[in-house]
Amino acid sequence: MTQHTLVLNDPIGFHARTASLFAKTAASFESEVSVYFNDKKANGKSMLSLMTLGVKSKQEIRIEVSGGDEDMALDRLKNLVSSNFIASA
Amino acid sequence: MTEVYTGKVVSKGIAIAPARKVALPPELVVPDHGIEDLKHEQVLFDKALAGARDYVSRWKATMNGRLEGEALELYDAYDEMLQDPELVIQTKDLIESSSKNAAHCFFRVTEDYATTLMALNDPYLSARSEDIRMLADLVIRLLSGQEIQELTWTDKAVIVSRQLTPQQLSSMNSDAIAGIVLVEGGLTDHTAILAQALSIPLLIGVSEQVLEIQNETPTLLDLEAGVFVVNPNTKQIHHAQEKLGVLQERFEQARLQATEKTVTKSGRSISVEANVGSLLEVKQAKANGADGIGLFRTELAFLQQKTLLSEQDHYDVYASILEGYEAVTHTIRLLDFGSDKPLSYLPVAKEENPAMGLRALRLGLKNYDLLLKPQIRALLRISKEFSIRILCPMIATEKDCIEIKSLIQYELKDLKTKGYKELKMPPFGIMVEVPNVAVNPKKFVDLADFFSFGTNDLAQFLMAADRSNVNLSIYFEDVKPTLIAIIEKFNSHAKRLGKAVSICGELAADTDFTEEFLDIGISSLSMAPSQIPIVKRRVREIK
Repeated sequence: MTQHTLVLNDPIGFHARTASLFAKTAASFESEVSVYFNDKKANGKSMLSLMTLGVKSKQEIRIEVSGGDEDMALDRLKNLVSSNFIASA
Repeated sequence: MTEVYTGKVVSKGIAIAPARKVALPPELVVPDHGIEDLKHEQVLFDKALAGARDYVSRWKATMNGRLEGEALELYDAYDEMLQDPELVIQTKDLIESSSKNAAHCFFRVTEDYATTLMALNDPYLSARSEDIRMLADLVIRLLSGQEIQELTWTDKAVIVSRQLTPQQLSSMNSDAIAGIVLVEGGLTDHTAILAQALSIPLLIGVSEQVLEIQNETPTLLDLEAGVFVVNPNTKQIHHAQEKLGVLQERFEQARLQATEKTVTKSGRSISVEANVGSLLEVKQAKANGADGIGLFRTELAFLQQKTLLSEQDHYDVYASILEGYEAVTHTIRLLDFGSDKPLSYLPVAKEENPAMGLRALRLGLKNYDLLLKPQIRALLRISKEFSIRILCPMIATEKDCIEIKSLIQYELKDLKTKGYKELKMPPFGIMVEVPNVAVNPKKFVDLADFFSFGTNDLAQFLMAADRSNVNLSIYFEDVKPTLIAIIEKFNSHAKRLGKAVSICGELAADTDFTEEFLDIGISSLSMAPSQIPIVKRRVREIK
């Protein structure tokens, strides 16, 4: 299992577009992806689940990945979030 | 057998096309029962999801070309939601654990998500919860064989319905609507305004019996003669076709002259401008020779949006709509939501009397940061690029007027400290549509730079007659002399201070009054783009 904590800089937070990009990227890996915010946990491969976290701009999330391709997956997800969702999904 | 219906003509024109009935879909019923074959139920669920995705992709194809960018991306979001792993897995798990039918389980899972998203109190996410409910409705109807209503077709048809909401009308491809025949509906409600803007013939107040018509029955809607003919004979069709040809030719002639300067024989002039709510109408306005946009109904441009708009969203919409139209001045009205134009992403309480309720500025001021602030700031920024005037709807008191003006001045000051140093205050105007303003010119002429008469609302408030009630249409004939007298008096007060008065309601396009408006000294008339050539021609006939 590997994890990373970072800030979401998108001006709206996890909304349809950003949650969708995150979920698509996560779904391209075998590993399980979870996102933690406050006390809530979401399935990183589900746009709806990510949106229910209610993450707003400049708030901190923790990404947890476990599985065979966890390092590569975490790397891609980190890049996606820190590039403000410009890095290709 | 030929049948003939009459009613009230709202938008003239001739259409020869098959009838198509549009009704509100019956309310959704969520069946709730136990099942034995769990695997089979899960297969049915997968099939329904795939079916719903087919619907979404068809909707997207229909809207392609009419909607752009983010509005179109919404359909991709729908598609993704229908494949969301949590939604699918949780529903299947619930089918197994509860031995209940798929429709019931899917309803419970989606309601859970919708409620959670709603509870986050974020307008953006609340709108997504609406989307989930809409998709759940679609999937459950597919699962249980309940009727799904689609307002999408590509060939031309005459819509026959009890009622048609502005949302329904804007969700349809306007090219596919040859004409509209309604049992209810008013002369000046927003469906009427949209129909006029799109030059779609519209007949209202037609006998209930018309709803018994079968889909695809041949019809002739001749609103030059004021009749709706079901199963017309060949002679009638031939005659209508001839009339249509003459009309098109006459309109084309007027249109060709529309771009020429509009002055009377003795050289008096009046600006003939367009009421618009979309890019399509701006294009029409330009083609028909409008001397500018006299009333930009910003709320209509945003009705199809599913989310709240940021300052930049507002800016981008105005910039794209006004692009290439720099030479003249445009009047942009602040959002007039509420009433009969509800917003999907801003739930408002149901009101007994929405036309006199919490709408327009009243709603805007109550939700200032969400609605008006981004719009005002975007307008101030765009005033650097384009010559615009800001118009405020539903002003009832001096306090209303002073409050909104000081908010605009505050945003201007704030923008100046944030790098927009050279911005200036654009002309500030108010709608004259509440009687308290209309009959008190002395109190109000000092408070704004210009005034625009909204004669539709003013007429309904003067006569205490609902403009969407077809039984009351007679009052809107009788109110005209009163309106003219009020306009004349208001204008004489405004003129002393050198301030302009314009008219942007139905009355502006009434050629019976064009001469009177010139005599009074009205500075501009604003109307549906399709009416501009005719009014301009009338101006040229006057001395």
